[in-house]
Amino acid sequence: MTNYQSVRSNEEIYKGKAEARKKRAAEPFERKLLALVRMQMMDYSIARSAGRTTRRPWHSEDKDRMKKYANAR
Amino acid sequence: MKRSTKAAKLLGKLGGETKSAARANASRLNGTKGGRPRRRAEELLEEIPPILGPTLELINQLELEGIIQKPTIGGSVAIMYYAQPVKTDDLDMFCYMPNRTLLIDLGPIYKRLEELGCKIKDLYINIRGVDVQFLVPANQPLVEEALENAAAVTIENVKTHVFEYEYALAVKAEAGRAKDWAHILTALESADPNKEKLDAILTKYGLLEKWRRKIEE
Repeated sequence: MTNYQSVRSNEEIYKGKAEARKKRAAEPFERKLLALVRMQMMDYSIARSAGRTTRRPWHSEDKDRMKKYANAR
Repeated sequence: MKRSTKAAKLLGKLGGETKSAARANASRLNGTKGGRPRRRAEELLEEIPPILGPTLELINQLELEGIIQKPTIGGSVAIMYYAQPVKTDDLDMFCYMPNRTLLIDLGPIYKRLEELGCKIKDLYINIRGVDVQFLVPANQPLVEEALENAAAVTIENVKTHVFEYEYALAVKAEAGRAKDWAHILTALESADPNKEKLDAILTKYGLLEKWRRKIEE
């Protein structure tokens, strides 16, 4: 149990999230592609661990490349 | 502000604070200790192998060989060009075939790509690591208009075309599956289309009422 109380109101949080989305949309397309491949990797590993079949991420046959994508910040 | 100036300021030399957190931040900026130095996004991207570049190069080769005409990125990837990224499995490439007949035969595209070492997986063809689906407009005036008005862009140093944002949204709305509407809603949260232009397209193709019902409700 905690007595921690957020100093930000819900409205402020929603506003912050909306701003973050707009910022994400304004990023270079190459960076968004990287985010897309990382989402595919995450989806694939979740599906695999849950025993579901799913499509493999792009470039999944190139292990070195996948490592670079996974480590990118 | 230069990194070294910022670091000096953090260390108090230029009138900043000298707390331990400030010192840690300064050492990170200088790259001396305290973890990896912070790097700019552009520097980082230079080290990442291209994702779509080799795929688009091969597709452009098909265009040069006269197998397809005006290959244009559509679907979720086109929307992602303007809005926040969302997860998708394939790259939708819209294009024309040189001989426009009633029956569309994608055979020549697949045959040539197989010769170039690409593998066919169900509906998709894996081109240089990316699953691509070719779509040719068949009596779809909206898609044809979107193709005509596609924007010329450069992605990972390769020239290509991408649907304009408003057309990409309208084509998604026309497809009308649940996941299409979900993607439209996500896109609209992050990037605003030109409302007048979008309304004109939706009105022209009888999609405005459907759009209002789904989006503005």
